[in-house]
Amino acid sequence: MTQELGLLELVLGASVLVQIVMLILVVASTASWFLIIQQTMLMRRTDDELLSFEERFWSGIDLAQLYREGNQAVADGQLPTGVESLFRAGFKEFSRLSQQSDIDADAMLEGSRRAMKVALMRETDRIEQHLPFLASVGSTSPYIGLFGTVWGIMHSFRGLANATQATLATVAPGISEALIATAMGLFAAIPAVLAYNKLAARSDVLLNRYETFVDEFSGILQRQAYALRAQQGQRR
Amino acid sequence: MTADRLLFVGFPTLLSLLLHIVVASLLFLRWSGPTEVVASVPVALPIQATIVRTETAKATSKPKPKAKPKPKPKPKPAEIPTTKPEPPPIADTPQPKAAEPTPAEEIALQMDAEQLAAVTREELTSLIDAEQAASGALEPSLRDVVAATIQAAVISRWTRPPSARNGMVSILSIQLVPTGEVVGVGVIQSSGNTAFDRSAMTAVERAGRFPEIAKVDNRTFEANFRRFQLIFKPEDLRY
Repeated sequence: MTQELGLLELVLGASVLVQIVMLILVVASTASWFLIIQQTMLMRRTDDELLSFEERFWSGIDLAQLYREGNQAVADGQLPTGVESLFRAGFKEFSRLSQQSDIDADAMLEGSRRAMKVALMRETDRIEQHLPFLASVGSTSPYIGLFGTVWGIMHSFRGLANATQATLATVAPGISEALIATAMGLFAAIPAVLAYNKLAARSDVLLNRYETFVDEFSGILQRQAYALRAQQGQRR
Repeated sequence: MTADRLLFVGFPTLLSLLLHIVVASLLFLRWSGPTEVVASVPVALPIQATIVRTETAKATSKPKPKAKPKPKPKPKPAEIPTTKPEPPPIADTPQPKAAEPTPAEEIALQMDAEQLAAVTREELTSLIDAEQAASGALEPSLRDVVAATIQAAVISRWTRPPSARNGMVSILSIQLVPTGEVVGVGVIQSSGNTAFDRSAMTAVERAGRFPEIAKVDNRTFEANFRRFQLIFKPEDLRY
């Protein structure tokens, strides 16, 4: 145990560039884990919100009533997120357009769909905001680690050139410390890639459900728009 | 809002930092050594050049070969207690004793095994003591170390000719002076291949001097290194 080659000594004994590489990898790993945890929490919450909102939406509640419920939160400075923002954008635009009597039903529908599309884009951005970072950690950190390793091995072989008696023991510590960089690169990359795939799949599912909701909601709005215009036509 | 943000920023930060700290500390603290493996790695030398003491050395210190055969035949004399002080008798005793064995064997069988073992052990230890006294108690280790250094020095300078084959053996006699200088090299037993013999001689000549010899005290030098043999025997060749 006395002559043991500790991991700490290996790391501290590495050359400056290898140490920098290791530092970058540690930071990348920490950041990617931060995002993994945060995004997982966010996804779960968004899922829950979607479920509870859909439940309320299909419970037969009056849509104007549902909209007004959300008003309270908005007044508190809490911007609507998730599916609620889609609903609010669409409904707001719809009610605004329906107040102008010279706009026909198709135009009303078109306007509210466009508003919902914008909100959907915003949601997509919000959900997929951090995925590119995970993807790049997953794809580049092995290379960064490899770079550190190659550099470290280069150094230890250069040291070997000056030694008269070249034994395995002269190069082994250098190679060992250089390989730590690769290990760290893989340690950072593997969870990032796994998490990226999982989160991307989950966000795809979520966005599909949003789109479905938009279609369903515009179906309802279409019915309402034609009914509204028919009423107005009769009155005239 | 602020509480929410705290949850969404603080919690993941804490968790990911904690994870890394735990992993790092586990790695750093539980890095159980590959030391044992490293220590056991040293393997047989690819080339064998063994140092053997010559006849001149034998004269001063009587080597083990004689000690070994002796213990067994010894116990024959019926008077067991008296034999114990006897051990010192060395080189000259074997023959007279060897004549006795047959009648003595029965008596030996009668003696119980423990007694026999006790006697043998005692004799062995006293023999070893005698030998150590004769050749200096601390000497073996130093002698072995110097022998190993000489061997390594010669091996590292030995370039074998292409005609060398596994199984060739050539024995060289080497003469040194107390400073470690090589003053004479000669082939005692040829391998049958002159190129091979010459390569071995060249290796010794190239080594030229073994500075470690200076550390050896005079007596050991005279006993072991004034004139000794090196056996050159390649074992690592492909054919």
